Amino acid sequence: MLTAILRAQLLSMRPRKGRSVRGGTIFSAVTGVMFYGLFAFFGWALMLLFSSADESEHFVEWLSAILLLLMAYWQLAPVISASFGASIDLRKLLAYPIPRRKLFMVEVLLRAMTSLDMLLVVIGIAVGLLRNEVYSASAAPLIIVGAVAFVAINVLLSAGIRSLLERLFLRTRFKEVFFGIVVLIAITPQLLILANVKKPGSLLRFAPSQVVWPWAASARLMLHDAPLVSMLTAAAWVCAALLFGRVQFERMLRSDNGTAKRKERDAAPDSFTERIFRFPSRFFGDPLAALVEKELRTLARIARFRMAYGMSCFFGILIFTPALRRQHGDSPILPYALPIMAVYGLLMLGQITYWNSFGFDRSAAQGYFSWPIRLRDAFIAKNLTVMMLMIPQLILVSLVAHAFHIPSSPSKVVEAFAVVAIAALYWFGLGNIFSVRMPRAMDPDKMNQMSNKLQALTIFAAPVVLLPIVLAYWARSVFSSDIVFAGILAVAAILGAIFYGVALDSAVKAAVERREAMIMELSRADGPISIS
Amino acid sequence: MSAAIAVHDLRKVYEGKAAVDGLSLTVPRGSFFGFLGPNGAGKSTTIRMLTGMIPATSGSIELLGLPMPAEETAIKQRIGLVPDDSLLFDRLTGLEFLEFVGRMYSLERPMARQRAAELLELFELADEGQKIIGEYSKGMRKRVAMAASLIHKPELFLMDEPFEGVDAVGARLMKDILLDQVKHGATIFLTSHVLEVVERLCDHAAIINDGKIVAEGSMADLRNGSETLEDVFVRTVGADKAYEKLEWLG
Repeated sequence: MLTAILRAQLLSMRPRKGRSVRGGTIFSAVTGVMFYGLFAFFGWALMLLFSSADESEHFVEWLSAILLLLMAYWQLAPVISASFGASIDLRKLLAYPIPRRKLFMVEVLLRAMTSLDMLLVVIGIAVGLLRNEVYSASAAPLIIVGAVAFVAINVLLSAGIRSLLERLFLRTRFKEVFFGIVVLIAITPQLLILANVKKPGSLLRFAPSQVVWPWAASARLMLHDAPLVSMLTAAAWVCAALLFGRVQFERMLRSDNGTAKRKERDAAPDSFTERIFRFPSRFFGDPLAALVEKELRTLARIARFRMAYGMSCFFGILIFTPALRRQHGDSPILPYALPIMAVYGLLMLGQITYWNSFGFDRSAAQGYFSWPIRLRDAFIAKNLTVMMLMIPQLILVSLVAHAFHIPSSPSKVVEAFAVVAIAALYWFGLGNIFSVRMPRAMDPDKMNQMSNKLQALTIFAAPVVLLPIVLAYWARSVFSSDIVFAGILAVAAILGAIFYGVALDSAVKAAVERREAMIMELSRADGPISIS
Repeated sequence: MSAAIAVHDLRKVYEGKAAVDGLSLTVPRGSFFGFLGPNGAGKSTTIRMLTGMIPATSGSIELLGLPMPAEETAIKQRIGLVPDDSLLFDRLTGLEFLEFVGRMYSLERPMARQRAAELLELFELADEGQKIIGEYSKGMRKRVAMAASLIHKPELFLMDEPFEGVDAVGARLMKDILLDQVKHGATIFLTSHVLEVVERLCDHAAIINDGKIVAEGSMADLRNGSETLEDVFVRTVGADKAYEKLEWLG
């Protein structure tokens, strides 16, 4: 039964024939190798560290702290990015007489499969300890048992957290509340830094290494430190994680998605939101205005978008503030912080907007081919919508930056606006091409469904096309001249406009040529297991 | 006056296999034309080629006297479409969607808004007009899709299974509206699996099988005296009792 489910999923995920699809598969493979290669490198480095006999007296503290960090990443990274990889789609499987125990096993199996990055690191640590001459051959079983216990705790815990979030995310406004909690958690270290804690790194010494903690129990078991107590504690944590995972999975099965969903309603014609939606009509004529208005209404009603938009306003601050405040004075990148954070905000919106512009339209994207409109208007409308969304986002980022004492004078704000607009020309150009070449249906009710290809695009390709902007900043720092900076930025803008125009033409041409494949891809339903 | 639809030697080939194979068809203006065929016969592919959603491999298409795809935009302005797949934006309310579609067909916003409200009333969706389409039932979605196809008062309707999933009351309402459109000079080209519906509504029909037209003509000619359309369909398309071969099912 389990193999039948997994086989059905594999069959529904198999790529269709065609040159562009093959290209996408190769791209996915290359980016996959790079991503897992990075974690394999971490694993290798930790293997070297733990195979050294010289430092073994510090291993309990070190391994406890490392496993704590691993556990935090393992559990929090999917939560913060709202991306859990493959997961079981119960709507398609509940109709069949499959025992719930087996469904849970599939879910756990999927969590383990999507944790390959963490497994590489844990394997590195275990191999390092096995190679360490301090530990005799008799310690090998405990090293392996400790590593397995740590993996089991995390896999089961992540299965439970996923089930819990999947259920709660369907609740009214939960995503926004959840986002607030994440921001509060993430902001704490920054607040401590701003509160002038002398050595923020010293906070790490408070990382608990007592045997009662799951990471410490696993670490001590692997290090043959109080093995009986460690083993009993680790076993208790495995049981607790199993219980948590199973209970949350059961609750998710019992939850009624239909009644939990937020009911969206049309606003009154004279309401504030309605006036916002109609705002584009003041500047553009139809069909452009109607298309932008439709995009604004649609995005505003997608909780995933609201969450990403909120993150795009605040996460730049959270991520860059520690780098900006150093122990001895401010970082040299502080003067450029506002434009960097603004561009980062634009990047954050990419995965649910311009990198895959037609994702939320799904099969309705065929309307752009059947209505009497120019296809390029649909692309321009989608890009314009993101730019309109960037205006309040930039104002908010500027205000928050000001509150955090990051340079945000009016000239800095204007500079940030200009840089974002130029970056948008390059990214929208690329995004339009990828929206046609690699379209992917996105379910607004599910969490992140960004494909590996698009993840890689965000990480690797997006910064590369911003080289003209980087060049402008480099020139300003070398020549200490704002005029040179403005001149090069103007050239970057002209190049960006040309790039956008060419890319738009190319995207429209490709969309017309491969409209059938594009609509098919956007109408595609998930298999029994959905990638979320 | 030219035909509403004139198709000559139309072909659509997927990986060496013809989904539509040399189809030639003429649909007179003002007719109610039923396009029938078993699953996978090529009905939806034909409609998609007629609307320009997919390109034909070869052959020619003329709609309302204009060549497709050369006059694509002018043709689209004059046709109303109800496709088999959803062409609805789930995050818009029924009212917003209809207004949006009206504006796609160059109606001014106030006019589009007014017609949208009137169409929701006509299709008995006025109470649901403020709900987002994602919360609609399948039948309600079909009704909104049909309302959207009417908003710009097209001359030609292309409809793929328009009554699928619609309850009896809703289907009756939709049929009455379509008959009224034909009375006012519109042409309707629809596919349906419900042969009784086609028999009752259509004055002309064609049957497609394996991408080829196997029967075509006025309804009276097709029925050939006492036969029902179902008899004609089964005789033309052919159906054996495959289930008798599965002994365990007996």
